[in-house]
Amino acid sequence: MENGKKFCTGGGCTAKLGPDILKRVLSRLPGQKKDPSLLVGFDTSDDAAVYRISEDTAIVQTLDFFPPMVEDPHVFGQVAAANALSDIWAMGGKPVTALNIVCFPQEEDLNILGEILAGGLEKVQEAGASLCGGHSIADSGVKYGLSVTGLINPEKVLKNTGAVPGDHLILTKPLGTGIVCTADRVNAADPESMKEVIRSMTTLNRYAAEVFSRYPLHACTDVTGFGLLGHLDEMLGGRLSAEIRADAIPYFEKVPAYADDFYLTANGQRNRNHMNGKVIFNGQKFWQEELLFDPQTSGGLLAAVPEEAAGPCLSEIGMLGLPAADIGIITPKKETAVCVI
Amino acid sequence: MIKLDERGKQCPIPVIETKKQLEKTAVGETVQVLVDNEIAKENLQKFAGQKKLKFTAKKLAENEYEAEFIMTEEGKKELGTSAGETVPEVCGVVPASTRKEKTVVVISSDSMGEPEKELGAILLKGFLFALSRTENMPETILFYNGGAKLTCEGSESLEDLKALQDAGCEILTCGTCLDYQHLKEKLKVGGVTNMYDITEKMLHADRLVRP
Repeated sequence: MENGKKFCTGGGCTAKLGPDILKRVLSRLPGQKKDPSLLVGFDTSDDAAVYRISEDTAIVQTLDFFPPMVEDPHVFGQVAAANALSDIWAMGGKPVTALNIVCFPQEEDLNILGEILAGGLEKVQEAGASLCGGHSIADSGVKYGLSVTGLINPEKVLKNTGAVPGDHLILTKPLGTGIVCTADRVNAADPESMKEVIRSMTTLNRYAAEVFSRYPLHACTDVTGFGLLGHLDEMLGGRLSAEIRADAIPYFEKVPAYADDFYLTANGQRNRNHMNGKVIFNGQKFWQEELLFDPQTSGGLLAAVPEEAAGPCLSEIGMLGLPAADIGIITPKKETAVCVI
Repeated sequence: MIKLDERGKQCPIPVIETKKQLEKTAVGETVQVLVDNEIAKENLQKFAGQKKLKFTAKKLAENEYEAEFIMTEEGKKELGTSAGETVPEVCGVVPASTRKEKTVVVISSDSMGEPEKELGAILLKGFLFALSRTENMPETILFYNGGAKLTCEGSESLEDLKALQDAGCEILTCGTCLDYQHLKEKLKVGGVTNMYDITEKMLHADRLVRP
């Protein structure tokens, strides 16, 4: 069944630990002494940490790595790097340095590792940052990613919790990378749809973020392992609700067919469990539900944009050729966090 | 009842293999699936809900869940199985003249005939190739002892066996034999079975072929 897929083991953000497990472990860690310069720590489930180093400068730090989700090592390197860099842009920062983090089997062909690192370096350069070292471990499976440091004006940090009712939600990439990569893992995806997904996963969120930086965004995050609904739920933070228009969600063409064929990840189901009781659907099709729970690898940015800015912001992103969409609005808190209409 | 052992397999493999099995299951028949984690069980449950199949599940042990599907009329339509694969509903015994004879092939070694092992391996490969091309395909091929290697990684017969499987032939390998030879992770085609099933299949075969 998995014939021919040696390198790809169902990785990407589908390999992330579920949000519930993570929350349980983190909540049991002892509290730390508060450092006033730490502007964003891990207590807000944000994308990256922000630490003020002077009046007008803060550093943004993040780390992300995972097992391969595609067969081509070069592409895997590109995707892993694009995914790791994304957290910096999601905070409103600009990446400056990056360190490789590598797990690689001792007996495996080193040319593969070379390809992964070359792919990663390309994306670091495209991001305008410098690769400056790393750390590697001999391990039974391949894993790769980056720890990235960025710079940001402390006044302009985009937390994922600043949304207000009336904000429009803009999503900058199609959903469905988990579903299509899962179909590919069992050799059921057609090459064209896989190409489309790879093109999206290797696209840096830098370009969308640069447009966002010209608008007064209230909140921003990137959509990765917890799926659109999981990350949206973090953005709502129990204070707000949201209305999502299912028909407005951009998706990869083959997702409806692959979801109906049940090429679904375990983490898609974990995400569904996590959102149990927090989301209401209104007669959407099964694949539309799965799409919203699907864990994304190197997914797009999800931004809460004031209504008057949403239109111009969206058309400016559209001019870059990115398939962004206005997918719904933030509302005052209702009984359920998310209502899909 | 058909049993699938999907333990040790990552999502979506348990659902995909269950679906394949259900596509050739007649209305009223039961397919039992063993999985080793709750999420896999939930995915099977979701599948049953979508495809309108009767579903029950129970937890047997810490890492063991048993899910049971019963094929329904609606399920048959949802799964979109072609008419040819549906077992006609006939009360009682199917008349002998229209009933397909059940042939079960037993592969108990990785070699065919004595005494040359190397030649035997070539012959067995040829046998399985020829089998994949015949019109009177067997209903089941059982692999045990040395035969278990044939369904695992590195076997030169994988393509032929997959072709047989795709054409509706059931490929089953003895689980004890896979364990004993440390091949459990390397199984590449077909399902895992146990001695109870192997005995049943052999007893109910019209013809048993042992190359």
